Amino acid sequence: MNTIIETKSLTKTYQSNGAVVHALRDVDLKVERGEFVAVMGPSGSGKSTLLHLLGGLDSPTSGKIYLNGTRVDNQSETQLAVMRRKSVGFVFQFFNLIGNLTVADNIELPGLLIGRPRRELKRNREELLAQLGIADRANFAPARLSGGEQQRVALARALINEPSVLLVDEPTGNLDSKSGAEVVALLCEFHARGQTIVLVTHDAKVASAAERIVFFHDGTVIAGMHMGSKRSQPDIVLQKLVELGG
Amino acid sequence: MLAIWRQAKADLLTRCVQSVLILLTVIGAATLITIGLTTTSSARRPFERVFEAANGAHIWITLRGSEEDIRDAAAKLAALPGVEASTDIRRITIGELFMSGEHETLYLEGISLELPQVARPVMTAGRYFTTGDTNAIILDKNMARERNVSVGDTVEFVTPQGRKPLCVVGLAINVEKGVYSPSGGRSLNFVPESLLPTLMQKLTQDYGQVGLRLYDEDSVRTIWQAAQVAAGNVTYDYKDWRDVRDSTGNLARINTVFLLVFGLFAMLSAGFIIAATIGGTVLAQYRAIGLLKAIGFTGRQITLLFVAENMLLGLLGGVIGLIGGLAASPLALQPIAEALNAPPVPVIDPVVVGLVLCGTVGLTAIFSLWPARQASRVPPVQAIRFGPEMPQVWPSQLAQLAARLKLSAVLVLGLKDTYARPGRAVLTTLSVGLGVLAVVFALGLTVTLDRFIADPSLFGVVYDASFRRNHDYVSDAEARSAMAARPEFRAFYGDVWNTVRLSGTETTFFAGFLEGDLEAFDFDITAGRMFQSPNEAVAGEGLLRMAGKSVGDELSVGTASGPLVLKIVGVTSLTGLDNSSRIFLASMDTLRQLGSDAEPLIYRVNLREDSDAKTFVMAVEKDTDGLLLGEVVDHTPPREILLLRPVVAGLALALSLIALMSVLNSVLMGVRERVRDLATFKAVGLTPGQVMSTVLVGAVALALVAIVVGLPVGVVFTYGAFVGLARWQGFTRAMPFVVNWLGLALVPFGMLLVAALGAALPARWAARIKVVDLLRYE
Ligand SMILES: Nc1ncnc2c1ncn2[C@@H]1O[C@H](COP(=O)(O)OP(=O)(O)OP(=O)(O)O)[C@@H](O)[C@H]1O
Ligand SMILES: [Mg+2]
Repeated sequence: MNTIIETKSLTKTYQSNGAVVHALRDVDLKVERGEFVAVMGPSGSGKSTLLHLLGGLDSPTSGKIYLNGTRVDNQSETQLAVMRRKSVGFVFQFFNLIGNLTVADNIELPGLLIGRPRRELKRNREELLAQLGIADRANFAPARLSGGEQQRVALARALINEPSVLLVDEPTGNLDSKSGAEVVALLCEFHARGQTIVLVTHDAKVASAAERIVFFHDGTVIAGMHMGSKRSQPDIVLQKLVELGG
Repeated sequence: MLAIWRQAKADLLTRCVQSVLILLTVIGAATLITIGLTTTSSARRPFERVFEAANGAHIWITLRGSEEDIRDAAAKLAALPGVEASTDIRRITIGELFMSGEHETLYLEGISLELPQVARPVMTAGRYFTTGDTNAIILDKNMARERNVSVGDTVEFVTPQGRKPLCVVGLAINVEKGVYSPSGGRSLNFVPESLLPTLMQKLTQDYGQVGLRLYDEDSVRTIWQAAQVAAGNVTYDYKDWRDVRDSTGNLARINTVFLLVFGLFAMLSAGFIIAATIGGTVLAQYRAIGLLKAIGFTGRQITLLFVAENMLLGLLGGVIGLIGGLAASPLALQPIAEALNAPPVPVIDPVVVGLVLCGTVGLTAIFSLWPARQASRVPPVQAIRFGPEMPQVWPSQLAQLAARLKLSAVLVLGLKDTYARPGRAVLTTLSVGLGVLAVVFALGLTVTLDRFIADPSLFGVVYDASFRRNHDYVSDAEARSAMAARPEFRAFYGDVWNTVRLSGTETTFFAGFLEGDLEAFDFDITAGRMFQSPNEAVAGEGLLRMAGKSVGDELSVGTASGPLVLKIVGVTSLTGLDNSSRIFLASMDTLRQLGSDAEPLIYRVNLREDSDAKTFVMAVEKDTDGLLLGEVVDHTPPREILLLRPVVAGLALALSLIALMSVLNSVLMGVRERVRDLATFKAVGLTPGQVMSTVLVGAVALALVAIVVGLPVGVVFTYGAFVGLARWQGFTRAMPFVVNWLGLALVPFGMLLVAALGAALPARWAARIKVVDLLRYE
């Protein structure tokens, strides 16, 4: 198999008000191509920190990160930005769309950054919007869309450059349950087409869409499990682990 | 009300950086305006003091006629109602005085040995005359300093009998004539009246003047009319004390105007910054405003809140600026004060204080009113739930736009951001535009002054040196050959001035009769042409007014040699001996036709390029055994005009700084408002450098618009200002408007640099935004 993401003893400590916070301690994680991994854990366990480090938004205190076999933890901010354009798609809890750009412009922005031809980009964007069911919203301002629609636009923006990995942080945190479910369904759809996804959530239902779940507690992986066909069993384990952590 | 006050205070503190920026601009503007106004209102003070000390005369009436006529008239004038006291008859002569090896043309006034009651010299060193002072002189204090003469030195006055040594017994200031300046006004010096006749030139023998002190200092014109009725045509001319006072004030006046104009510009700029800032605050505090309304603030109170906040800044800035301006104005008052030996203390004029404070507070109020009204219209429910409305989303596509503008997507993002808030963009552009205008003006002024210095004929001075011949000693032929013998000599014309009478009236005035190489001189003819044949004349404006004539008319006059009819072919800008411009110039052949044996008494010489006028004059003086005395024409523009250069350069710098602050302020607000967007840009893959570019490009775009608009407006403004300035300073020919192409070409770069500098700091902050920190919280 080929590994897309690999971390070795990944550690991140924050210095806040004199106190040292160990957000991540010695995390070793591997994500294979086409895998859909959910990261679960209680609040403050370091899930977002992990995602940010994987996407190069922050640099680790120690440890190594490989993306597509290339070491990225020691790269400059600029190099990381360039890497992100092509290889990483981010989706955040608070959609983070650019308010004064239309939906279409928001989606095309990463494509423009790597200099893709306009026509191809436009076709690509239209396909994505159609798949996401918001084809008619292309020329809307983000503020005029509902939360679920905005998150779909964010998803389209993350996917426009067909990134090696899609990093998703609490995509449903700000949505009602129906919209949340729709977004999760869309993630599954893209995964089915081969998209590698790392999803952070503390919602067991959302996590259960993944192939594999990694449990975080206090900055370390405390368990990992592959989701089999029997769906009821992991749900119980999951529930237990969440209770233990929370 | 208390609630509003508290909220305002909290607001100001949270917007610390912006408050400081606004405060600084207001302070700058208030300082400039204070200096300008204070110099204007205090400029008369030193003069008024000296005038009191001298017990100065409010009107000086020049009398012309025989001894008896003059004495008779003087007695009548002293008895006029409204006259408090009068001087004796004072006679004045003009001549050359040698001081420490050099000589200068100056006025000598005969004065009684006893210190007069009215119009006495105000002694600054030495003593006044005493009985027994026969060969004593009291020199003008400013000239003595310029020429390095002190009490006890001996100076020599050139008389028809040779040089007369005089002992300097004292130095004094007077309020009869304007302040002495080496390049302009001649000095007034005093000798005992018994001495004067031996020093006198023929020309000035039948003149005398009387100074009157009036009960009502503003009744000068009435008294002059009464004097004309009482003494008939013995009254020749008069001088108003207020003109002398204002001419002293002139030393600071031009600078004052510029301080005021640029101060107003700075004030406007401050207003633009304020308006932009409040606009930003309203956005940033949209929810809070909604909340305030929800808890019961009325729209009017909200408006008041924002206006009050900024009026507070205006007041604070105004007070600091006022203090700063008052502290700095002695600098501006220095030249006047020094010339009049008075301390340069600015008067704290309540009108100035009121104007400055009302100005700053009023302007801040006006500029905050409009955006504050917008705040008052915030719909509370929507504001609390959704925050501010998003700026208009352009319908055009980012990709298309980038392609059309041939710019990278990154730069287009920056442009969109900048113009997402059009109001703010316009305000910032205006501030930068004012900076451009100021710089263009400073450049224009600098090159134009350089032009003047290089080509003094632009000031109306058409010759390099002049000689005054005393016909008892040097003949016309000797004078001519002495001048022509020198290698520096190029051309000369000679003139003689006669008194002529307007036919059919008793009114007399001066006429200059010229001969020589007139074509070689660039006479300043403001209308028509120069005279070309006998019986043609160019007249001064004053004569035309007096005689009710214009170019093309005929003028009949009586001269000592007989009547003359002249055709007026042009108008000259020369004003003549008495500055009244009641003169005409005509060919000397006109006189000779009447059988006169007129010969020039004054010679004006043009020298070859690169020759030194001083060497030339000294050589000619030596060759004529010191009997033909010359004067080098001082080609440097008046000191007050030269002073303009640093003043205007400083003002341009100040306005550029304000432009920088304006850019800094607006970019800072933009970055603050859009910090989440910028973080998202980074998450999506913009490098720190690209984030910086999006911020910088906006500022640069604003500056570009400001330059495109500001350059032509600046050129037009400069042109207009020069025309106005020239008219005011009495240059009759249009001030040549020199365009400094190199400078103008550099202005865009300079202003882009200013904009980039202003945007640099916020741009760096933007580039350093930590995505992670921002994405953690909503
Ligand atoms: N910039 C920072 N400075 C200081 N401490 C930080 C910073 N970022 C995160 N932390 C701390 O690191 C720990 C891990 O944070 P992280 O956001 O990764 O947790 P999380 O698992 O995503 O939690 P949540 O489920 O609430 O989003 C927390 O204790 C957090 O307070
Ligand atoms: Mg998190």
